[in-house]
Order: sequence, then C-alpha cells, then structure tokens
Amino acid sequence: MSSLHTKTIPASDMPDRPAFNWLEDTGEDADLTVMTRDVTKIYQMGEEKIHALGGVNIKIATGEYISIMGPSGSGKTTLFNVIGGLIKPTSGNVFIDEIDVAQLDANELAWLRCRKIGYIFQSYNIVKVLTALENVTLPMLFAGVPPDEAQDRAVYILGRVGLGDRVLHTPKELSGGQQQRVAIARAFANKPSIILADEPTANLDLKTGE
Amino acid sequence: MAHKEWHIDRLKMKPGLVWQMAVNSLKVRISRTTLTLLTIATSSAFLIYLLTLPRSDDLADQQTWYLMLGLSVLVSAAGVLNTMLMSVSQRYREIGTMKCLGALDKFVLFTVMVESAILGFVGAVIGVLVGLTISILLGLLEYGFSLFQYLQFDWILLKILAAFALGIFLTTFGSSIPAVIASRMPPMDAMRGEK
Repeated sequence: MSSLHTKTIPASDMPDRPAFNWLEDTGEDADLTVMTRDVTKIYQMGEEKIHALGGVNIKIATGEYISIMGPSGSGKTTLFNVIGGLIKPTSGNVFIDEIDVAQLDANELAWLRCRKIGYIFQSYNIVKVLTALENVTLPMLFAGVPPDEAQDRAVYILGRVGLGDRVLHTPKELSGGQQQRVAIARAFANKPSIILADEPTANLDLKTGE
Repeated sequence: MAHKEWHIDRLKMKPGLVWQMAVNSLKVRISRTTLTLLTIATSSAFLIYLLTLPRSDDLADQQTWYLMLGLSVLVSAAGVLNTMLMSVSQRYREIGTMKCLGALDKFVLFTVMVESAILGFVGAVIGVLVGLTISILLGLLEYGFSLFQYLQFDWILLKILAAFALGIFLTTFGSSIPAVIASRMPPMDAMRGEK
C-alpha cells in the first residue's frame, strides 16, 4: 500500500535553484517549510486495517514545487491531508516550519490552515451558498483582514484566474473549471506559505487543466 | 539553523461575521427556512390556542385538555428537532470546508446556533400571532364581544413567553448536537460526512 513514488521538480520561475532531493539529508535545512518524520496512517475499516501511509519521511523546502505521483490508493490524498493538518496521523510527526503540528491546539491549527496553507481539492469544495467573491473573501475575513480590503483583493485574484466577470455568480452558475478556478483563487487569498493541491485538474478537461 | 519567518498565532472570532453568515445561510436556503418556520409556527400557534382555550371545571374536560397539551408539545418537539438535526447534518461538507479555510470550532458552532435561534424566534412570533388570532376569532364567533370572559387570557404574557421559550429551545437544542459534533471533527472527516 505504501508504495509512494515521489518526484521533485524545480519551480519553473526559479531556474537557478537546484532541485531539492528529499531522499537525502542535504543539510539544506535553512529554508525547510515542511518535514514529516515516520508518518503513518492506518484506517480501521471494520475488522480490516488499511495502512495508507507506512512511515513517510519527506522534506520540502521553501519555494520548491513538488509533485507526488502514485496509483490510486497509494496514499497521496492521505499524505496531503496529514501535511495540511486536516487529519491526524496515527503515528509520527509533521513539522511546518519546525513547529510540530500535533502540539497545536484547535485555535492555532485554525490559524495555520487559515494563514499559512492554501488548499485546492480534487472536488473543488467551494461553499455552495456563497458567491465566488464571498468564497474568496471568507478566508481573509477569518484571518482578520478588513472587509473592504478583502473584497478588493478577492476581486483582483478572481481577475487573475480569469473570472473577473463572474465574481457575483454562485457555484451553481459556474462550470466545473470555473469552480476550480474559484478554489484556486481562494487558496491564494491569504498569501499562504504552502499551497497544497490534491489532483486539482482531475475533474477538468484537458485544455482547462493545462 | 532555520530562521523563522513567522510564528504561530491565534485567530479571533468576529461576531459580525457570525451574524452575517447565519443570515446569509437562512436567505440562500429560503425553501428550507420557510419549511422550518412553518413547523415552528404551527407548533407555537397550536400551543397558544390551547393555552387560551375556554376551560370548564369538569374533570374529564381537564384531563382531555392536558392530554392534548402534552401530545402537541411532544409532536412539535419531535418535528422541530428532526428538521434541525437534518438541516445541520446535511452541512457537514460545508462545515469541513470552512474549517479548512480557518473557521474556528466556535465560529461554526455559533453560526449554527444563531441561525437556529433566529428561526426559533421568528417562528414563535408568527406562531403566537396566528394562534392568538385564531383563538380570538373563534371566541368572537362563539361568545360575541364578551369573549374575554371565557377565553383564558390571564397570564397571557407568560403563555406567550412559554411559546417563545419552547420555539427557541427546540431549534437551538435540535441543531446543537450535530453542530457540536461537526465543529469538533477534523475538517477532512467532516467533509466526508463521517461521524
């Protein structure tokens, strides 16, 4: 189950930066953003135990662009959720900028999710009862950004993802690709340090995906 | 060693945002809101009507009255609790998503509670008005203008208060159980709708 295949790709906008090899401890800890140590996750399905993660050690440096690839059921989404603090690992530690996520209380965890991590989900997960603009504004309001400022920024980001004329539409009135672009805009709202994207283009057609 | 660009901070809940989200949610789900309001209004209207109904001193009549009162409270409690439980349970995914965006547990909880309290209050207002109107109209038909000699209008404010208390208690209590569960779940479990 835990046959996780990982590949690193240097960020295209940083051609001078060497690819960071997570397999070796290069001692390049200065810019380390995410580190996991022996993370395991076991799902209990009735009698059966499913080992989704079997001791994952991963290091991700600041500015790095990493793709995690593997067949379905190999634990990609589980790793995504564990790093993002969305589920608790069965054992092991997740460090985000040297802070052990398990040590944080509910409020600090909410702060981390709000300010430092942007999530893009496979199934969009935008709030159906809110407009595109409100969806992007919400995390900024949680973060304490004044409403006017939050709205200006939300309009700007939505413009950047090509939804400038769709800001007041509800998810129902948007296509799948447009909904995912709202989700992408939302992930960038609070200028997070980490963007986690779980197969963000899996539900999109080839052209929009690119 | 690594330098820290930031340190973990805490979030504050904004009461204004709670109110805004609660009202928005009621507006957007207008059909469900109307349905819930109708349930609460009917219950409190019937309660007020029963409480102001003329009563004889006959023991059998008294017993029938208490039985009706008890049954009506029971039936309306079951109806309202069920409606509220369902409406929150259907929102696990939304709650999980909001928690991913940094919603505090108490923000989720307060939003649902405020929403329920608004429903309970507005429902009770409508119910009390309708109940009183029916009671007075039927009284007029039966007793003419001397209706207030027959209708049980003493302690009327207390009776209205009871209808309000029942409405708000039932809605907030009904939604509090799933809301507490959903707000404490890890976001991903909530998004998958697991309990």
